[in-house]
Amino acid sequence: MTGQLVTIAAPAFIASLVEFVEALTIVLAVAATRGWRSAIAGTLAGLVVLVALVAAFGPALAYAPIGAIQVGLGSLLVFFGLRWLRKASLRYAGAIPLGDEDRRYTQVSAQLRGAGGRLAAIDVAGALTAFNGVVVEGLEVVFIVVAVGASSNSLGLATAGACVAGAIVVVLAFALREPLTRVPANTLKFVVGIMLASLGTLWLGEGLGVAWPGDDLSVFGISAAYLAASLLGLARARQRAQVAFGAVSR
Amino acid sequence: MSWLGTAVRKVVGLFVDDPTLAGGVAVWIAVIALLGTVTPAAGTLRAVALALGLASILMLSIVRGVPAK
Repeated sequence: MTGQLVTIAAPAFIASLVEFVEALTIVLAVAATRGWRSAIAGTLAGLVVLVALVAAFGPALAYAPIGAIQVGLGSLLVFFGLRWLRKASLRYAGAIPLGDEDRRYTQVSAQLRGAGGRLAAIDVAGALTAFNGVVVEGLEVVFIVVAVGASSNSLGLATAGACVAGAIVVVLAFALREPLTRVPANTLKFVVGIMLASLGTLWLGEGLGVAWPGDDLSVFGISAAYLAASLLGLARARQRAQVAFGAVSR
Repeated sequence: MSWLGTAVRKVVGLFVDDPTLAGGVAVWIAVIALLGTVTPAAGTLRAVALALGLASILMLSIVRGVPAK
């Protein structure tokens, strides 16, 4: 039993923990910028799809076209993340007023709440992003569990390892919930834009069959590239804004 | 069918602010995918090209976001 814990449950736990943390990053990013309602709605929808897929296909899911799924959902995340990153950078440069989008989002949310009740206040883009993260990472957890468990005929033990990793990540989400609310909105959007675009690029690359140096760790290198590009673009945009509009807000 | 057009525009709007950024990203993804069929062995090179290419497109889009005087 101890041997099986080391050779089956532990690898399933560690590999699943990495995937769950990636999903948590996206869900927390959505929660911090688009609200918990959108994050939870997207997460629950993603979990429902995952459970339905596992119930319908079981271990056969190991043969799903994960490459095509990574390309599709990774591309969406890249588009979404780069859009946020661009807007946050332009706000820092003074080309868009700081807080402009927050004000608009609050107004629209209030209008929707008034018009259609609770469900209408869910931000579709945010919920879709959380959904993407949960489905892609969740599928990877399923593949890990099937690969580790089925090969040694210990699917239950591998599932248990993954479940423990999932429980730890849920606790982590609750712990990080409060501190995130103290970060300024545009800073949060800038950081979230980098995180979403980086994870999307990682998945997209995996789906396209590129060889990331250092595998999943290359997400830090990708983030550094996006950060450098944003800062360089921001500095140049700020110069142009000073010429075009005169004084810059920050 | 106008409601369908409106719905499609709204969904696309969730992911696209700057058509040049979105177009550049889509073209670059296609280039990297095409390179994979031509030179499948150059996996690491394609990985670096994917990340740096997308980062460069972002940088240009940020700069272009401010109108020149």
